[in-house]
Amino acid sequence: MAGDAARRDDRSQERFLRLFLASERELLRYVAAVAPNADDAREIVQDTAVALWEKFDQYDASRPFTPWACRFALNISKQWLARQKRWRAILSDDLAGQLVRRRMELEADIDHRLRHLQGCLEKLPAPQRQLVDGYYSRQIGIDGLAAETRRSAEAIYKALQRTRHMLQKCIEQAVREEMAT
Amino acid sequence: MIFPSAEFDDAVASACHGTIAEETLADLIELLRQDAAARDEYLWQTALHAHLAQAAAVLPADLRPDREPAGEKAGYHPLRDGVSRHAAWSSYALAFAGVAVAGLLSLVVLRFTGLTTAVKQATAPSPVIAHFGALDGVSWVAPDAHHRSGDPIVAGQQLELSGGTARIDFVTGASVSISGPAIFEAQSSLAGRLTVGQVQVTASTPESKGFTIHTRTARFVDLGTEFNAEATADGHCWVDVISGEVLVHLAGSPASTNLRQGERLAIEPGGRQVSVRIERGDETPQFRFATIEPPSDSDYADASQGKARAFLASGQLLVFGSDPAFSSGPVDRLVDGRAQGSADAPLESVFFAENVRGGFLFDLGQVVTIRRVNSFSWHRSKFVSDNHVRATQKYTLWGYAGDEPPASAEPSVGRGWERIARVNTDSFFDVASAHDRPAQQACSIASETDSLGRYRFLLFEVHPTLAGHDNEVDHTFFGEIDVYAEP
Repeated sequence: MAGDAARRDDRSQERFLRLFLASERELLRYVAAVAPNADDAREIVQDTAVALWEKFDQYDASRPFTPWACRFALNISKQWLARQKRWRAILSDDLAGQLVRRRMELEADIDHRLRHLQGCLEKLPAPQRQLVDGYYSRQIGIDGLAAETRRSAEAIYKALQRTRHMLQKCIEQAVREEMAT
Repeated sequence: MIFPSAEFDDAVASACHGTIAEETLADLIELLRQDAAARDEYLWQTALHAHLAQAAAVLPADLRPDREPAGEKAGYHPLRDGVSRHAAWSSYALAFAGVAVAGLLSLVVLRFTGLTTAVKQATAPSPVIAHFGALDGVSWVAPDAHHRSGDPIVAGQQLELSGGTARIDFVTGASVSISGPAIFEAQSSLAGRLTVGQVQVTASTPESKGFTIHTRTARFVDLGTEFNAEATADGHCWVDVISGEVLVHLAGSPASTNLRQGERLAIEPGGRQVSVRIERGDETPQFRFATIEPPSDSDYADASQGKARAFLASGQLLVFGSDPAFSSGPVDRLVDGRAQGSADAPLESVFFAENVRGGFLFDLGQVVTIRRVNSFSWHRSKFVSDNHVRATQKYTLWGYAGDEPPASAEPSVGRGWERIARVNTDSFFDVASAHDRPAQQACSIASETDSLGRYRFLLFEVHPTLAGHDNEVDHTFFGEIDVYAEP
């Protein structure tokens, strides 16, 4: 495969790069509907990128790239889910397909709500912000945060959950206020 | 499970954390199948989680802990081999990455992990935390990026280089040289996130102590020192201490490892973080190393134990027609409990023909828990003593738990094989010329957190070891491979 890649010209790589970069956030969101854990979603999108590159010579440039890429992402997601014993049931009755399609339908609404996230993060009390920072930015993990703060893992888990609830309420409030004005 | 309920919220949260119990997940999936409103709420909550995971710099610098916890060592015993180092990156470092597609394309594969999200676009102006220093032949991925030396860098600013080297001077005095292709985010005056690429970090001022490089699988905390680090598109990373000390934290684990000058730790992605320890030997038949035990006849794979067998999986061992004494020994030399008895012993070694990629397959007879894998090599020509190019070790170790190994001659992730570790001793020893290669080497692959996994088959995918001299043959003289395992 590396040999194949080497034979492709730089222009092809650059073209693929630009198209993929323009689509990657959408791909990640698409995949997150069936693989909500961030590490899992990243793994699937990585595999998707490799698969897209392998098939890039089959891409019809007259058509939009993202839907083409999403089809690959859905297939790769299903392969990934099929390998996960616990998640395999989501493939029955095409629930995985339903979720990713619905995610696309809701995209504008979700994006609208998430525009208020940063403002809401800034309103969090410092301990909650530090918790969010530790878990999401520094990726310390529940156990690591528990060790760092000398609290139980369960306490950290609950605190994170409460913090997300605070964020959700704050965002919903901000959306309501925005609609009212 | 019903919706709405706290139970539903708990289930979605634990799915996002990757900790959901099997039974709870089954209930959640069943609820999602039946309830459209639950599906919408699930999609909203997972989207929020995903956005938080992408929003790297949630905290301003003044709220961040400025010192990493010391933690407990994870059983790793640093080595001291006295190898001198220089800051230059070896030319094959990217090839070592082993990503499916090379160079610029590797930027694509993980770029999203450091995306500047819509969240950040909505923020107020961020504080200046650094400035561009020297820019050497830099080309930026974004066509509209035009950075110059002295330009300010704000918290959360992402830098994407397709080539060249850019130095970033942080206001704390820390300095990071980024070699492209690379994606690096300046998170705060004391932290950066390396998604892919190579960095050289210097943090010699008191204010810069604790400077941290985050990667997908680990974070490296500078304790007043200089270190190199590389992260590849698939989550593999390593850190290499040039001077001083570095504290390494594995992602999702409270464990930490303290590295000192001349030491390297490589970390594989996935549930198990794998360390690759490499040492030079004393060039005696006793194969003595600083911390790695010598070749053993009591390991699980040893022929005397009668539990495992070694095969040639692919490639061609060297057969020297005019004089069989210069040919490779058979593959089972690798499991005979001893390495070479002298420095130039072809028949006691196992080696491939020139420029050939090949594989050694170990069938352990049943699925076993792999604790540690040690490989040994030795070569110094008896005719030309400064020719000791054939002890380098460059291989990828794969594992497979099924009853029959996948048929594909070339293993890859997703085709049945699981990659356990990548070994490149030239990179570790910072070999500028093949003649710098230590003549006797050992590599020990272990897990910092657990075992290496449960497998029946181990495949050593051995890479060519070009020395770059037409008049020298160079494929590695492997003397012994020990597999420490238990049922």
